[in-house]
Amino acid sequence: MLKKLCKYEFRSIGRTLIPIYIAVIAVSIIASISLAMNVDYGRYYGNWAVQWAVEMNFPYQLQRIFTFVMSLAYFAVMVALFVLTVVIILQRFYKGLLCDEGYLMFTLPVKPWQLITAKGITAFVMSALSCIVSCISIFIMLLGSTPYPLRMLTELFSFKNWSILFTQLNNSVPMWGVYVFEFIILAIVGSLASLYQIYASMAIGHLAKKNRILMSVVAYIAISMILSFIAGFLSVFGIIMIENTAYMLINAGEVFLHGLMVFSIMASVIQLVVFFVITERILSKKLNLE
Amino acid sequence: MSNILVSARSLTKVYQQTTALNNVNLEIGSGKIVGLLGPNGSGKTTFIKLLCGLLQPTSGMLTVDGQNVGTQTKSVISYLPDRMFIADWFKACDLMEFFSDFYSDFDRNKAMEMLSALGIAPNDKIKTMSKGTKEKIQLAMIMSRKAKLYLLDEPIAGVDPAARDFILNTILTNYNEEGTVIISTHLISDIERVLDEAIFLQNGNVVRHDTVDSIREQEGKSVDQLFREIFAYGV
Repeated sequence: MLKKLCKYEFRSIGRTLIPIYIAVIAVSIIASISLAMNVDYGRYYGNWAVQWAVEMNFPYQLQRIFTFVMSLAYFAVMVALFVLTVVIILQRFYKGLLCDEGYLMFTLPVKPWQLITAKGITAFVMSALSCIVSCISIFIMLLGSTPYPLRMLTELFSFKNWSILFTQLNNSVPMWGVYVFEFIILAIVGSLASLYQIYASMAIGHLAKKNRILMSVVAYIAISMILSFIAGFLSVFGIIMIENTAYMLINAGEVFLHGLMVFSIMASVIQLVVFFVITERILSKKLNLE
Repeated sequence: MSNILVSARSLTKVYQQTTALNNVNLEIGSGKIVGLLGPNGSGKTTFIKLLCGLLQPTSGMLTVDGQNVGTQTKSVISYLPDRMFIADWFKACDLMEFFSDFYSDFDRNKAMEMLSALGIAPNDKIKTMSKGTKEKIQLAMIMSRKAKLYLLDEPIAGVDPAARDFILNTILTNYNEEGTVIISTHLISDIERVLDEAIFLQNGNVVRHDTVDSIREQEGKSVDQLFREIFAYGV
């Protein structure tokens, strides 16, 4: 059932976001070409885009304007990508469960936790995709702004360079793999926790009789304040506990860093579980669709 | 016992201050068409929402087919809310896929037949349909299931008399004969001819629950007339 719920969730979310992804990639390709064409790079002989512009006798000013317009367009689609990802994730939960569509979803023979999990999985995957797409577009822009994009590509994909990098990395930070692993786990759990903080806030806002959106925002701010209060308390507590933090940092740097990572992961897991349970309990017991 | 489909024991639902249902005791059997009748705010929608699990009772017991309301009962209940509940970007064929994915008792061929009778092509988008067509397509989906209990909340409230007849005929010709249909409405004269039983709700209380035949015999008047008497204003 969870799989089926996710299927429809991906369809409804992808319907809006995938066209944006395509737009971002398309605009960044054009913007990248416009950057490459910029005559400032004229001194780099052999750049195909510059050569083409020179051969075509492309007016210098027009080229500048084109580059300017495309850079603006690039900026606009990147902002749109970011804003739309957030808005659609909010909207899929609010409209898809707490408004009229809720009448369909909450009468399906599935448990509320499955509905909430399906929302979380799809929202997480789509935000990860949005990040990947923006990374790709930045990379495309990078290719346009370097004078020799082909050389950059061959160097980027050469096995030799990577092996040198990894050898150096292994020598200087032998534990780098563990750090990367910890970081990835923290990124996943942390973003899931902030996602479910939004869901829990909307569920709490749903308890209000009216002004439910406003109450959701209030709930979100309140939760954030509580969280930062706890974080501040813990850090003060930690500094007092570890009598000489500076000593720890210098002499037990690695252990301290790992400890901090593991602690952050655990804190995020706790947040995630608490927010999930709050959302699930409210939507199971206190659901009251208008 | 096996014939009792819906059973409510001192069922009470209180919203913040208002009592929507007050100590309701009801038993509804299988294979019947039941009218849930009452003026606005009498608790009709609350009762239906409790049955399909959209609300949790404040106190009391409510069972469908011998089970507490939950995932199991949701799979045997076909519910038509009093509003649009389909995402408007769905196409007619998406809707059919959705229903057959989640409800094992959904009869796709029946749904196809109903849609073609309505002149809806599988690729038509819900968004482009008129309000009446949207209501009809929702009804077609709901009635294409072989459910044990159909809950229809104000199915004829917002439509013209011709559409009313269409909707009533759709209900009558398509419901699962072993199942029960509960129709909530305040437009009694239109549906009186199809009802087996009538439940009168007033301010969250069941004031009368009887078969339509015995109402006519005992009172010597139609359900519509009785309704007007029970709910007369200023008396």
